[in-house]
Amino acid sequence: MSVHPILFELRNVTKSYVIEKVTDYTVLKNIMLTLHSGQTVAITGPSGSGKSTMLNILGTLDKPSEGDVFFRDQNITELSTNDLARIRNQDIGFIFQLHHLLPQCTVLENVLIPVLAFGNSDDIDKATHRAEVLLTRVGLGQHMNSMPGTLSGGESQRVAVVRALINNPSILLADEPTGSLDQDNAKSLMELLVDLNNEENTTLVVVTHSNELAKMMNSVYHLQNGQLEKQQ
Amino acid sequence: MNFFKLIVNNFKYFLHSQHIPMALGTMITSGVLIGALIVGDSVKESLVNITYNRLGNVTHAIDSGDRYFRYQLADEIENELEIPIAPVLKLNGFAIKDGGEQRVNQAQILGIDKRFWNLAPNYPNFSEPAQNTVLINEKLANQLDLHIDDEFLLRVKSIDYFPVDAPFALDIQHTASIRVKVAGIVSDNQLGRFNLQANQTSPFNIFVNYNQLATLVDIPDKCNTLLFNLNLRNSISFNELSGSLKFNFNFADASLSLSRDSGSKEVILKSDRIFLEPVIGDLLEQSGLENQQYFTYFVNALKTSTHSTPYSFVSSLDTDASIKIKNDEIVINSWLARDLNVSKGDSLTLDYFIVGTNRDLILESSVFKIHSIIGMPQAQRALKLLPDFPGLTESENCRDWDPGIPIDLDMIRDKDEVYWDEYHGTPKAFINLDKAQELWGNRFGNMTAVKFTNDKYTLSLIENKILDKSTPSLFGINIKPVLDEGLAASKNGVDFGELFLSLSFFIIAASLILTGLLYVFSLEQRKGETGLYLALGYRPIQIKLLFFFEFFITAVIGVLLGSGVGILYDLFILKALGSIWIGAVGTSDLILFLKPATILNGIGISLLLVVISIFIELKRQTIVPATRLQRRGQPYKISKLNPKIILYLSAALFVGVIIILFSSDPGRGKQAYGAFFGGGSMLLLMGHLLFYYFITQKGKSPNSHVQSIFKLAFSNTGRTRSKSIAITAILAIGVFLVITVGANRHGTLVHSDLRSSGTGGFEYWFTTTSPVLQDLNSIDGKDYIGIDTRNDSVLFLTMRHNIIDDASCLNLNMVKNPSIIGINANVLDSLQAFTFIKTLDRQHKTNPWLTLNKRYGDNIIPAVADETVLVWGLGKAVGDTLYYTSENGQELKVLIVGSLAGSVFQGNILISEDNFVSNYPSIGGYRIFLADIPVSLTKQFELNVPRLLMDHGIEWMPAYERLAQFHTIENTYLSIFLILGALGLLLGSIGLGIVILRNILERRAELALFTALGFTLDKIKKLVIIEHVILLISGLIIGTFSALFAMMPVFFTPGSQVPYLTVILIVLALPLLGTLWIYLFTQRELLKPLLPALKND
Repeated sequence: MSVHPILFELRNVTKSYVIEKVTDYTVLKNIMLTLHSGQTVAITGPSGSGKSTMLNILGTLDKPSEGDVFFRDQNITELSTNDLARIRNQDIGFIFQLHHLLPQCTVLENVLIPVLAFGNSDDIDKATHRAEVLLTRVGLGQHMNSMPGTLSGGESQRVAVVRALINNPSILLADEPTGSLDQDNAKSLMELLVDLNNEENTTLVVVTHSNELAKMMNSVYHLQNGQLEKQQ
Repeated sequence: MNFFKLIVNNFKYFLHSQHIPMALGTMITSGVLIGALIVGDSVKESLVNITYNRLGNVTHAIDSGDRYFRYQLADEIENELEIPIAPVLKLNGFAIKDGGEQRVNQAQILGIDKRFWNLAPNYPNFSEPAQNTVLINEKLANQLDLHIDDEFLLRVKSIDYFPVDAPFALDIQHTASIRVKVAGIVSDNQLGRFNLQANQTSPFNIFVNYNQLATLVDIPDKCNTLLFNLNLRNSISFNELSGSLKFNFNFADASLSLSRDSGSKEVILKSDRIFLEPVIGDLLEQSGLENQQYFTYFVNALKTSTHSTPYSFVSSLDTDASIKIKNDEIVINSWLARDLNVSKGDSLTLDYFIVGTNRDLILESSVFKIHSIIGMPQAQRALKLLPDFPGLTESENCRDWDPGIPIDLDMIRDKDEVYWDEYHGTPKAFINLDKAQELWGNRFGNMTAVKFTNDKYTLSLIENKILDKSTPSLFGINIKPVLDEGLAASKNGVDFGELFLSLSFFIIAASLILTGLLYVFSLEQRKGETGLYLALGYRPIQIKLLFFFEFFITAVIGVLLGSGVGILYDLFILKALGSIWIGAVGTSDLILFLKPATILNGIGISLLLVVISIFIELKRQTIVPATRLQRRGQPYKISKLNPKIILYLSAALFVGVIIILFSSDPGRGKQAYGAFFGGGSMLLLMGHLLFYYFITQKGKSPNSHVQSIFKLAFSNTGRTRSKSIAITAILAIGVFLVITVGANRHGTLVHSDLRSSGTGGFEYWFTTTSPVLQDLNSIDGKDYIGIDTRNDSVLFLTMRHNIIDDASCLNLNMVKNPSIIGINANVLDSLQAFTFIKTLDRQHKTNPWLTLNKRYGDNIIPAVADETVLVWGLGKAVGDTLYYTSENGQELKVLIVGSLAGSVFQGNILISEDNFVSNYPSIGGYRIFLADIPVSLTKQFELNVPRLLMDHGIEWMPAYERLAQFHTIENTYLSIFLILGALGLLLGSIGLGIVILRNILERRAELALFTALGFTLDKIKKLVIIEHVILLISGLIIGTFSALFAMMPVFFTPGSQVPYLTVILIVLALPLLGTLWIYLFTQRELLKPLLPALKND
């Protein structure tokens, strides 16, 4: 039994899609999952198994068709759009397969974009300092005022990681974060994520195809045919 | 970092790719919108400007028409009030140049003195024209190519105070001519276009020396117009002016004269108009003056069964005379008793003419019993009461008589000459006043003289007592606030702002769609960004505001640029209205006028429209889950109609079209237009349903394998069917409406031979400046105008005309009182001429013209007008009342009892001739005519009538051409709609290019797959181009065929003016330009590498 408090809990989560009013396609079936603070989790599974869907439900970007999602003992399936946005902004950090940096903003500005959603000028000042620290930490201290177009893929993804961490979230959700990177950059990024998890004490959930990456996590879950099985 | 910085970053980054195209789109939309609104202001301001030009500094005016008052009246009011006043003798006349080769038949002749120019803006350096010189306005100078020192012949009708329709009025009007030299040309802003009528078209003005003109037309020291400027002295109110007019108004201004008989000391009141107007009787009663009233008449014969005395005056007896007679008794003088060999108690018959409504002479007789015989001295006392009958009383001898009735001079005997020499016009007989009034009373008056016998009465006492009870308006002298009325007419006239917004509907809609597409396209391109913001915890409202402010900057810049484009668009429209579209406004004097409030309104409306389109797309995006936004090529929603329902609906529509085709005769006229337009709309809907069916069913059939690029392209149209059908529908509806509305013009020959048509079945319409007094339907009348008197099928509809303001669509001003036509309703009823749209009185539905003869109450006159005039010119409807003032100052309630379908009468209201003559007795004769001429006589008509009525200032044209003049305006509007609509369609075709960009963007991965599968780039381009050309051509075919069906009645209408060339150009230009855009946009977008799109997915 973990000594860390429960952060997220999926209870009997089912997700179905109705296509052309005929087919009811169930992606997730009665998923039960508990995530503790500071835990690192990998979710693996074949393409189309619903990994990203589960991640989106965790990230409050999507809602389950059935079942409940608890965040810090609060059932978030009943929350308003704005409340969910606040949780997403303050407690969750997203990392996508593509970095999705805004080409019109500098590296530092990209990192600060999440702060604008709920922060005031004091928050921005503090966040700017934190961004500078984090960017330096990930080796991009020289590139703070660079435009994203001048960065390599690995560097861009590291900026995305810093952006995800800027609001000091409780959980980092990474959807195939190394999918667009070469092997070296992928390894380097994963090491960075694990290190940052230790330093920031955030929960880390990674959706990946990579066994190597999965092995770096505390727990590994495999998703197939809508069922989630713990493997490690 | 803050929101503002983020917005600025975004704006800068997407400046070229998004904001410049969006700003240009916004600029076009707002430009057209603002331009259309400014056109309204410009036309309105131009009309106001024209009002100031035509009135100068004149604020108030008296225009008494055919009634003349003293020229000195102006001096008296001027001295009293110390305001600028100009007396004017305003007449109609002709200007003839080069021996008649060039002439203007309807010129405004203005007899002025130097005071006239004090009322002109900028006080031009003109003075009173010298004898035999004139000043002319620019319009006349241009028309006759006249320059300073050129000479031309000026011709005007002689004036007679005596109403031309009154008994004994002469039926021949003499003209007076002078050769004049042009001393100067008066520009429009120097009062050159002086006109008291609210109309944007300038009259042909000739400014003549007042004294010379007044002398020429034989009314020295008289005028009929006074112009005032009350603005110069604000302390003078309208009431003070009216008070001054009343104070200075005297008997001479009312054509009355008082004289004291030197012998008897009696005072006699007579009128220059022979008959003392009915109002005089009322005034005498109100004044309390003791008086004796008399009626003297000229009779054809006084006769017994054996004897006859020709042409004599008969008068009424003193009512307080010692002789009292009954209505059937007569007193004769001793000369007559001897001549007829009669004595007391004998019967005596009087033969005399009375004048009918249309100047026809009716011979009537009355029999009297001789009551007594008086001596000649006693009879001679009545001589002083004899009015001045024209052509009679001033004659030296009987054989010089030339009255307005036929006289057989052979009947005049020597003893009659002797009587005339000895006793002159001494009445030969006397009857009771009541009887005289019963026999000879007419609308011009019921007495010919009044005698005041009280020796205490002075001339001034009598005059003052009567005038105290009267107002000048009782004698047709009214002051009108012409400036205020003119400004109100110009400001309330046709709203060209609204009109051009409607006419520019397509171009505005197209540019709005284009702009909307640009904004939507830009937002769609940044769907991923929206998703990212959502994932990062931004609330939807924050994202909306983020994009909103960024795009709002663009919208503001676009709209500001658009206001400049709007001014250019306005200039283009004004230039076109002054030249190729002059038919819509009738003047080239349009000026650009920029009203800040209107421009701000336009900016506001444009911004609002753009903001709405931004919000709609933002709302659409942020309600979609963020997870989906990051995936490309996924349509938001897929829905589909049941194919069976589509087929059933299509079949039902097709049946409807077939029913219309076989049940409606396309040549049936207006009724067919509605039916076929409905049929065309059904075809339009059916075309889209079938198109939808085909693109959605493609692929369902087991044999529908993709065998060619074309088939693949066709299949693709079904994949995004909502977008496909939207593109096709927009194009088809655009083509349908632009062609059906724009090409649906009035033909000039549309059944104009039918009595029910707008010409009433008449061949010719003609008007004259000076009235024609002859009955053109009589043998003499036909002879007068050179028409074969033996042909009975010739018919003239002769009409009286009180020219006030033109309320036709040719006048842009909103007039209050249209000109009045007095018409013979019985003739029109018997012909069943013209078509009524609405009638007030259901009982008269089958004989609507007869409602004009019906009595609706005191001072209520039934009238008929064109529906167009009522609705657009006056803003009235059947059942409404218009208020006029009769010649004697009474308020007339003109009740609209019916409305006509578009007719040659447009611009006027029609009342019965009886009502006309009783309320406007001084406006004599006929000035408007419709002629029904058999084909065999048309050449004779066209050769003789214009020539023989030349001195009447005839303007003639085939009746259908008169109708066509009104249609010209409507047709010009339709041309404008067609041209602007076509521009809109062409502009809208750019939208097709933007749709292509969106499609390619959404389907980059799919197209990249084709590349991966070995398709060449050219083949992919071909695929995309064919796919969209299918939509373009489908829309065009559906729209064009539906429009052609809807227009069938136009094709079957003789003389219809379908602008085939414009329609063909639209039908050709649209696919050509559309294909060009498709090619260019496809080329542009597919130049970017496609394969990365595969990696992204």
